[in-house]
Amino acid sequence: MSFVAPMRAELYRLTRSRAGRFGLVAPALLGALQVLGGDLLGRAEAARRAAQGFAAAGSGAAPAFGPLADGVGGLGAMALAMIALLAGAFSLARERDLGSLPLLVLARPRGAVVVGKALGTCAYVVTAFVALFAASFLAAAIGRDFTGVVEDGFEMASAGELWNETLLAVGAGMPALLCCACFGVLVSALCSSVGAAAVGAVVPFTLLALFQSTLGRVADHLFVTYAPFFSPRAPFARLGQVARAFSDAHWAQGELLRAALVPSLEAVAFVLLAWLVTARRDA
Amino acid sequence: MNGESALELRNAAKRWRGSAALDGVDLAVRAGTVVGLVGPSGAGKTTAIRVGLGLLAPDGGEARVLGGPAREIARHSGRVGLVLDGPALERGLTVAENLELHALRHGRALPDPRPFLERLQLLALAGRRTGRLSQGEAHRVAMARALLLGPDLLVLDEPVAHLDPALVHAGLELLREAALERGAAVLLSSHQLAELERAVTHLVLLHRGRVLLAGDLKALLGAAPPAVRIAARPLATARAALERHAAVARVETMRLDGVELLRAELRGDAAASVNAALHAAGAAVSLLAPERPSLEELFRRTLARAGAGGAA
Repeated sequence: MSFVAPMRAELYRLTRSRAGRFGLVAPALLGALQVLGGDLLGRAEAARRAAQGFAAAGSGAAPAFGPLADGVGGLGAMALAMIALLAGAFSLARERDLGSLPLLVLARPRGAVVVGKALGTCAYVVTAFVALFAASFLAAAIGRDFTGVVEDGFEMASAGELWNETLLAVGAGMPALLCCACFGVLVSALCSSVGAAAVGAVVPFTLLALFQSTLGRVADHLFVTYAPFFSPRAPFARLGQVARAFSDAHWAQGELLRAALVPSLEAVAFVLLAWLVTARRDA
Repeated sequence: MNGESALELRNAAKRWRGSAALDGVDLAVRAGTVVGLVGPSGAGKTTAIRVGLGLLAPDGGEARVLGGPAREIARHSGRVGLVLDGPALERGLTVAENLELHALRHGRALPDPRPFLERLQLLALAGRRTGRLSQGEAHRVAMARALLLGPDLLVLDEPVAHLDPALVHAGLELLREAALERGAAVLLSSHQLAELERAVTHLVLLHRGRVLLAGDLKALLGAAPPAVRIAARPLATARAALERHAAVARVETMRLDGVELLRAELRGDAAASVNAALHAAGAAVSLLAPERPSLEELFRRTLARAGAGGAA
């Protein structure tokens, strides 16, 4: 388990620096702001309708699951995907820039350093996601309850079912976020400077994310398809409709499994490639 | 550890774009010694260190660290302290956090860093982010980090380049103590020869990837021919007299603090007869002082013999 020390060191480095702490807090703030902003817009729309003499769109407050899904899967998740990419991209390239890579490879074998860096970055991303979820949860709970969706006296989805769907989407969506971090680590292993690593990670990822819808079936085999970015197929992006129990919203067969498996396998491949590259490069 | 080589290069070779950075270099750093690695810029000092630590693969020869192949140096986690490529500190973390990060990387609990911080006058800066330190302060932190885990081998490339004189002394004293009191092996590369001379027990002089001189520093300095420095007027008369004198092996003119002097290498203890010859030639001698053999002088002469200039 020689990767434990570099993993703990990476997590320590990321959570102690100001930039690292900002990366932990920023997605949570964005998620909460999106929930509260959506709430304000809803109230403004209701007031406008009332002023025009229309009846309110619904009776009583809507359940909190929809706003929670907006917070978890919206701007906060997109920011978190970008932060995961950059944290991964900086992991090894930054050490090269600083001249501290020799200190790392003196402490642990290079493979353990790469795996430790990747796991440390993933732990950081998970921590940031927990913060995002907690902030969105709290913002969604203001003035609402986590109840089932009832329309015209008919319960479309119970609170238990909605919790289940939410946690399923989170579980299936997380691997794509972690894969962003591992993709960043691979780029970091290939690059000599922080600037090159940042560009090398963000540009290809963004291009793939922008054009993944044009790739047809190939897109099913790309982790960017499941990352919460510009993709409507990411579990995080689809959660908003499912959590509101829209009649046409449901997970297609195998969709969540694919969303969990494809990025997981690619993350492992990225880390192995980063290991190979680092083992062959001079420190 | 005593007697064993903690770091060893055997006939090591490394080429960069066709030219030899190291050409059959033999180097051994034994426990309880401080080895000074000197040479002009581009001599191959940093390459030798990198090959010795397994950070670069040699094109020929062998590199060993702490009894094993250098490539497997990570097996000896925490037993090697290093300052290479500058301070290499995390700028967003404080001094204390940088030291804790170092211990974490090695999977060790953080030992009490205060003795090192105190000796290097860093105690008051422990809570300051390293991005806000001066170059000298950052280099002192790097030195404290290298010493922190009590390593058996310390390798430091230009560790005192940015320190003020008082702290150079404190830093080198810490390294000497690590070697002489704790039995660590220390390899120290520096261009500051006067400071290095006070700290090292052994010397390796590299030039164009080859070892020009290696051995115990006292023995190397003791082997230097005796020399005297002479201030005399007229200088040309004095120089001619010295060049005629049978006991004078070599005469050169040098400038010290703006004063032109003659330096004469003697064959044996001939200072008195040289003085007499100068007087006989009509030169007014105002100074005739034996020259203490110094590392700087040894460096200069060895490179001159090898037909190479270059600043240390």
